[in-house]
Amino acid sequence: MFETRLKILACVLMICAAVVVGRLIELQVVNADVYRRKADQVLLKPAERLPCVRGRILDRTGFVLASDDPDWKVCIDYDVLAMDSESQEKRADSLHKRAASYARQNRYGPGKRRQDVQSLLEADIKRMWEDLARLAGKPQFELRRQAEDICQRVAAVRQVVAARRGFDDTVREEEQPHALIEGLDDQQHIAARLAMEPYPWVSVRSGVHRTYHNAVSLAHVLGRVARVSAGDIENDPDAEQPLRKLLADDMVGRSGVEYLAERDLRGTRGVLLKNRNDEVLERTPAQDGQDARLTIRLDLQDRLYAELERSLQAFPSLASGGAVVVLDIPTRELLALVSYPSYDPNRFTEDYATLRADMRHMPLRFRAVANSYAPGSIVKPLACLAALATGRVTLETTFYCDGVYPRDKSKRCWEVAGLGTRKAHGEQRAEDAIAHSCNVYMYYIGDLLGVDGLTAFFEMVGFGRKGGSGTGLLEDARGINPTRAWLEGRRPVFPNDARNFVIGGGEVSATPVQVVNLVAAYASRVFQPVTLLKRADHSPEWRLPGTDAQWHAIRRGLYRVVNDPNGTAHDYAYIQPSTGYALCGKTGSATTRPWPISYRVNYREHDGRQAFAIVAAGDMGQAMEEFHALHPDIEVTPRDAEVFERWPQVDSLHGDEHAHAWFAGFLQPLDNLRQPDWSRPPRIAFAVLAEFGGSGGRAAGPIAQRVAGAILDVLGPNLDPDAPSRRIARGD
Amino acid sequence: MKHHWWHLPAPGSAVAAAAIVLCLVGLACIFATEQAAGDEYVNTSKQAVYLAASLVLTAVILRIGYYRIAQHAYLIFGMALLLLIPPCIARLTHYSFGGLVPVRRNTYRWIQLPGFGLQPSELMKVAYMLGLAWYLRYRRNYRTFGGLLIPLLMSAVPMMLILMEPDLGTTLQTIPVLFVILFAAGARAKHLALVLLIGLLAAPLAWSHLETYQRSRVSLVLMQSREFRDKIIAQPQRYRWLATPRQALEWEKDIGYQLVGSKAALGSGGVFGHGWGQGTYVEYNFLPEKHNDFVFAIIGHQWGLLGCLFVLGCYGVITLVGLNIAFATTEPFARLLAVGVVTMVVTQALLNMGENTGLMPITGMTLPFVSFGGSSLLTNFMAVALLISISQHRPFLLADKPFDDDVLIRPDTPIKPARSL
Repeated sequence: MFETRLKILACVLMICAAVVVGRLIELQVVNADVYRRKADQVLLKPAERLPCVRGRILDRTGFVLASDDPDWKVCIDYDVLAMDSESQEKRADSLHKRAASYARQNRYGPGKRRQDVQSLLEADIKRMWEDLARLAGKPQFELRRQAEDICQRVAAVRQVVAARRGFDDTVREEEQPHALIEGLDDQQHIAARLAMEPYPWVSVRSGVHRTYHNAVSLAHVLGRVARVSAGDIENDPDAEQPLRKLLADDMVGRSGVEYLAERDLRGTRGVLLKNRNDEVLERTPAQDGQDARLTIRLDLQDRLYAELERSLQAFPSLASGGAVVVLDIPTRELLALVSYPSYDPNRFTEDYATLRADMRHMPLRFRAVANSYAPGSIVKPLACLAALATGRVTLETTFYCDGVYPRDKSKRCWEVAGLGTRKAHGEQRAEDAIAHSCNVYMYYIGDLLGVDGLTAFFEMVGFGRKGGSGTGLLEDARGINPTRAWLEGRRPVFPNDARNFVIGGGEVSATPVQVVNLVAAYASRVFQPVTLLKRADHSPEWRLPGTDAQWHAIRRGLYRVVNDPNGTAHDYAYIQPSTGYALCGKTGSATTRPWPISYRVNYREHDGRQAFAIVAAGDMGQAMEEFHALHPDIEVTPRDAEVFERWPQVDSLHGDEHAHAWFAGFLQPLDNLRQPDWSRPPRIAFAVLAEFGGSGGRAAGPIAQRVAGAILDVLGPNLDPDAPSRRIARGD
Repeated sequence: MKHHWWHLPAPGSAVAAAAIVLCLVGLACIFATEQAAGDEYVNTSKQAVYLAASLVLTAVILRIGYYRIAQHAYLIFGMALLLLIPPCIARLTHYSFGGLVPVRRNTYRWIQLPGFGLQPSELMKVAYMLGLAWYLRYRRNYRTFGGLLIPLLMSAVPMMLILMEPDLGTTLQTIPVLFVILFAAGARAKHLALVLLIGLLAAPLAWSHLETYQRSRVSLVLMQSREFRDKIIAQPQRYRWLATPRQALEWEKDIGYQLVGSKAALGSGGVFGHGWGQGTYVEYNFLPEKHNDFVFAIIGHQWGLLGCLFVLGCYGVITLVGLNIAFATTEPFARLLAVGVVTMVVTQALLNMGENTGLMPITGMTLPFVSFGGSSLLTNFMAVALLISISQHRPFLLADKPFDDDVLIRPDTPIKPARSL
């Protein structure tokens, strides 16, 4: 029995051995190739991403406004970079790993033990920081703080990725080098290579930085790029595409066109797959981003910026800034979008603190798009049209203006209000009322239309609508259309409201772009959102109500504003008929209170002492923010703060109140008799705003005159937006 | 007939040669990995010293003779049990006996002697076989079900203690040895079947008591198939008892890391291998425990299928010669001991190869004679020394059947030789 059982045992063991042999044959003979590939894969280095160049931004004529320029950067492997900010354990682990690998490679001489290598390595890393500081010309602590920022960004990425995956794991950013010093030119690059040669974890790589060319006048439009934030990564629409998605080191458009055209501008990375022996296994080239082409003409923009700057500085005014917008009426393409003052986008980071603190001029404000102002008299033609189109009045209906509105004696005509002398407009038809900007006529039709009748028409021209004018810019303000629904949540509706709204006062507000589009609607009876980027498709358009005769009367009124000797802008904005064009338009003065520019915040020191701080801020929220940045550990509420300083500080130069000065108009072609040729639709509309400029005619009129001259000069006698540029330097 | 301890008969020398060759293969692997890592040859020299010590120990055991040792089998078993107790106390109380019982990888498997860490569970293997064989040399002890309770108890106590350390691999390894010895001794098949049935019924209970990491060691055998991993991801609730979807998703990085590595190392070796000290898995550190649990993968990586078959052949020699020795001897105790030694060595080797190739759960089993480790090497040589010792006392003149007087020489030999049952 014993023998039998031993034989059984031997058989069982043999069967087991046979199973093992079978498995070995399967692994090592049948599927050997599969496993050989797997073993090769283990040797792969993490895929390297080839950088792609961000697309350029071009003006209408092809002039390059923004481009990625090549430079060099010093990159450091993440584990070395993170040694400062990570736990002792993790640091020791990183050191250990590196030391083991260097010992294996005999980097520090043959036969060195790992412990020795590790101490040498630590000394080397210390020396590297010293060398880096020398190279960058910055103190070490600053570089190390930069490194910490990078680590924080990577940690944020890791969090986002973990949230998406559902579990936490190392992200690719933790296996890659990160740029610590950027923007080196060719000579610095060589110096950097030499200085960093002893450190295998440092690499000097080619990189790019965003450069803006001749773009002070376009700084706001172009916007800026910035390092991605965790939020950018979370909301990245390309997150599913590994070669397009945002990584922790990427620059992303933050504002202006850089933001607007982000999807086009952003390129697709390439991939470089190498094994540990640096043999290239796979290479997918990077695809650079597409260029974004603006509808803006750089020559016109520059010229108008210069005109605006000269006007605002020469004119004895309190103007703190201004805007000029030029629009091509048939296509609604913006030809110029000037905000004054501006800044140098290439020095944004360096100058940021100064720019932000300048509360009087607010150079960072994108006035043409982001600030909305009361449009003043510019909406009067729209009010007339509303009254005419809804049949409240006819073209022949007259109202008598003796300087005071009989139903409310406090409401006066503007000339009476302004000069104190009694000068009546007399019997006014709609056309006359526009030409004279007669307030009394407007009060009558305002009462006829009511708030609802007016705001329905404001709605038609895009006031208060989300996306505002249609530029698509992040900065785009909506303006305010004070409909009954809008007012209800804020205050009761008063009978006087319609009388205020009808002359563009009260809550009504619009950005310069919205205003220029309103004027373009006057010129073409069509409303259509504007565009800033050259695109194949155009936004839908809405034909506004009203008969041809009514529209004709509106346009004639606008013509008479400038070209009739009694028109409100005749003395300021008249241009010679010899140019072939007549300037038609409307002035506007939007009365306003001085703006706060600094706040005084009272607070209690930690020792109980009462103290205060003056912070530069335009509103309470900003004041709180600024104060918190100054004293992060002290709690204050808006009750502790009061306006300390306002701008303008002196009384108004013109009239009783401060006002923003507007002029918005279009260039109407003339016939051979130098009379307006109404059969030819006008091509160009523009708007001028002088913040705190005072009276629209007096302050904005002369600027409008110059702007019209500049437009004629740049676009030529045919006002062709695509007329060849006289600039020599061209991008392509 | 007088046999000198240095005089090895043919079967004994074959076993010794196989063991020493396996040892040398192991040394070559340990040397290669240390060379590639740029380390000093700490482990290689340690292992060489262990080998020398093992050979000395073998000589001592041969000099003493297995029979004299066997007479103290219970004593040895008892002492080995005593040695198992300090680690258990340390595990329960976290008291290290003044550094005597160190914690390594969260286990309490070692008793730290000056210059040498002793694994009492390894010693237990030999002591357990001795004790078991000594008990089962009487017929009455294994032919009744009641008699089987003692061997079961003798296995259960050390198993429990070893499980406390915890060391699941060694614990489970006791089972084949027990069954094979019982089987070889001649226990009734129905008794064995009954015990086996009880064990199977207890398995789900044991499964629920396993630690998560221990469970994942078992589940990874199934999870190496991509289809199965996809199933886990698709129906997490259904397979919750086995693995989480995250484990399936992160298979290559997480619980499957070792297995994927060992299979790739083996498979990429092909038929002839990359050569000594060559190949990805030798040169880089992608395979953990490559001088230890996964030394077989490294052998396959360096020397391919041929290397693996050679190693398998060495174990084959030990098996066949060992069983032959068991055949040849007439003493029930010696027979059972020989069978036990063969079972211990060969099952451990097969289990280790199974782990490396993905046939078995990864329980941290070492490859006998090849893997790095002093206690294991000493134990295996002790076992082999006992086997050789048995073969030395074999009556050469008898080809088939032993003389009765050869049996009668020893005073407490059972009256009826086992083979005539």
